[in-house]
Amino acid sequence: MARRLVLVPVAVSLAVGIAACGSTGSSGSGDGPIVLGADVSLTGPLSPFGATMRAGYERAVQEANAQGGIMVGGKRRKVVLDVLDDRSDPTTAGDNARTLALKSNATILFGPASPPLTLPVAQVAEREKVPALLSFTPLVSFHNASKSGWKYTWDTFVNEPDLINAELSAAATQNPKSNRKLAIFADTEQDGQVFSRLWHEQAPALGLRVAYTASFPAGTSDLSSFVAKAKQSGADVVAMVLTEPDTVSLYKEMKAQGYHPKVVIGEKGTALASFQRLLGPLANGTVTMGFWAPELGYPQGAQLESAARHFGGGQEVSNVVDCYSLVQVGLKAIERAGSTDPDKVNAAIAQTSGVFPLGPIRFRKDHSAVLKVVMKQWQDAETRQVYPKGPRTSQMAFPMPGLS
Amino acid sequence: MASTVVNGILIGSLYALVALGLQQAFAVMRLVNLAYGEFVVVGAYGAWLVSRGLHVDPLLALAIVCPVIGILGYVLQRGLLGPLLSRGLEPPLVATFGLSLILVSLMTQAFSGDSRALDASYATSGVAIAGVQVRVTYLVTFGIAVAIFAAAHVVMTRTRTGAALRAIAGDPDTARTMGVNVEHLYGWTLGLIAAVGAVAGTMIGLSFSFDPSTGASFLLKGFTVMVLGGVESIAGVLVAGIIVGVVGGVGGEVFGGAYQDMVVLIFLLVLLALRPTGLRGREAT
Repeated sequence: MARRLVLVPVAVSLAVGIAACGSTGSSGSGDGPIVLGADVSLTGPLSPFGATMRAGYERAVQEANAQGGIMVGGKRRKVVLDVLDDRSDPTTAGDNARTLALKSNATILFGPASPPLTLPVAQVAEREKVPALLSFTPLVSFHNASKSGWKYTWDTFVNEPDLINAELSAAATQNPKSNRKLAIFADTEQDGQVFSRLWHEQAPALGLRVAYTASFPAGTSDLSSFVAKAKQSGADVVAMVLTEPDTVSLYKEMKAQGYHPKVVIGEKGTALASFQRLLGPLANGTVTMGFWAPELGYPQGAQLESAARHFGGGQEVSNVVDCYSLVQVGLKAIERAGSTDPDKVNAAIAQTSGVFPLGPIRFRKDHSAVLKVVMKQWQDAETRQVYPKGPRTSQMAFPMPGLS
Repeated sequence: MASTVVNGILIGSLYALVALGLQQAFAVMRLVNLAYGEFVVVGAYGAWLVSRGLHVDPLLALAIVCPVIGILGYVLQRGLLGPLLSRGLEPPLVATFGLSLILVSLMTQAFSGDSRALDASYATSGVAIAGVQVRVTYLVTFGIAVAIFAAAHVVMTRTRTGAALRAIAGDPDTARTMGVNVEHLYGWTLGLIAAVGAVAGTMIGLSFSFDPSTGASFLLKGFTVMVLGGVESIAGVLVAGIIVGVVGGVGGEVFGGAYQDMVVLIFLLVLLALRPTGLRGREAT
């Protein structure tokens, strides 16, 4: 019995030792590399985001290392980026974040796209007390997900009400020829429900009436009855928040049923070039959200755009700029903290204030930084900025040519 | 409601097509094929490659895709699954699960995770039937599904091959002693159902879009239809597919789209409580 009792701590020590050997980084040690951990969706339905996001994270790390690393507590230390693929699966995203925090000893966690995947990463960050810098999580969804408030998670993205206000205003006021009836197609994921609720709340003030709402799980194959009812409602304006495959199914169904809305606003599934490649001319005229454009004139915008242009003519470049900027925010915070201690780094992130390639980033007390809304429209195989108005913005095509 | 029912019938035939491959693998070989969703997606990628490479309609591409995938299915059965079948239900079950993961990885490596769709002039066209607007691809799917089910029924009930398949489904050892080449027929079975999966994948690619992970959701639908239809009845599977399509559509319309799948599963549970063997049970094929 006594021998067994001795063996238990020995086994535990061995296990801990083996686990430590397995770690890929040594953020905590004095002069080893700083480890950053990124969970991204390299496979699965959200994989079109993953490749561009990884490119942004990697570019910022490469540039930091090209300058010899970052100064931490008077020593210059290299930066290592540990990237894991969550296969677009929320459970895997959480598991990956845990691996990055506990096994890789990541000083800061970076996330994937879309709340169903970013929020599991945030929950791990809170539980393990490791700072996480997220994006692609609209702010209302971000705040709704933590009733007690976030402590280690920071989100930089657009505010849904601002976005909806810009999009619905364009539909209602810039195009007065539409009948101002709105049909909503939303999936049952968290962002889908938030957008659907806000569309209902904000539409009346902008002169639009919600004539039909369809809500269904992501991956629903038969959308015929929903489209038939939307067509029956006579809505000229369609707003959708669906994954890319579901968006494609919906467009095909609308075309087949002869439904010709004059304005189509698409969140989530309409952002990337793959959306346009899948639908071809049908996609023409789709209004899609944005949060960055080279026209905004933030630093390094032109260089990043030319470096990332090969990814596609949709939101791809913005994704690279976004993730590149988040790593810059994180590395500057580590430098300011002078340490990889999670609490010190977390406190330094809170002090962030500056203009990055993505735009001005300053975190509020609720751990969010608001990005400017940029509304874009698919016109001839690429997205063009139609809002805010400026010298280089395009005229919004109306009625939407793709489904006319 | 008429539109929902008509579209439910048509889309249900696609679910039935997916379920047919699952059902025949189980009925003939007692093989629970967890990789069948990926067989379907491989078929969609095959049609995508051939139609783009040769600039032909995706349905014409099936003339090349189906034989190629059928041969691959045969080789897979003889080389991997066949030897495992003699060791009970679990080894081939685990093997197909592993195969599913491998196929997803291979497809991701080869084609990336981006969604794709099959192009055809009729892919976004619709026609009116009795005042109900339906998609042309749904109609084509229904026609192809009915033809395949009819052919499967005729083969199983009117041919010597069908008699041999029924014999090995009942007692492979006895069939073997009577001179039936069981392993060869098992190979042909998997080859044929892989080809049917390719047809289903092509129709999915025409109607919706697909990526390497698309197979999982259709596998789930396929198993639901198979259990509902009865694991040994070909006609039962077609009827069950249509019922799942209609019940899902009507359920979505009555209770909201969020409850579409739940309504189907509750319907399945209630029906199984009343008829544990499914719609057609273990009656003759």
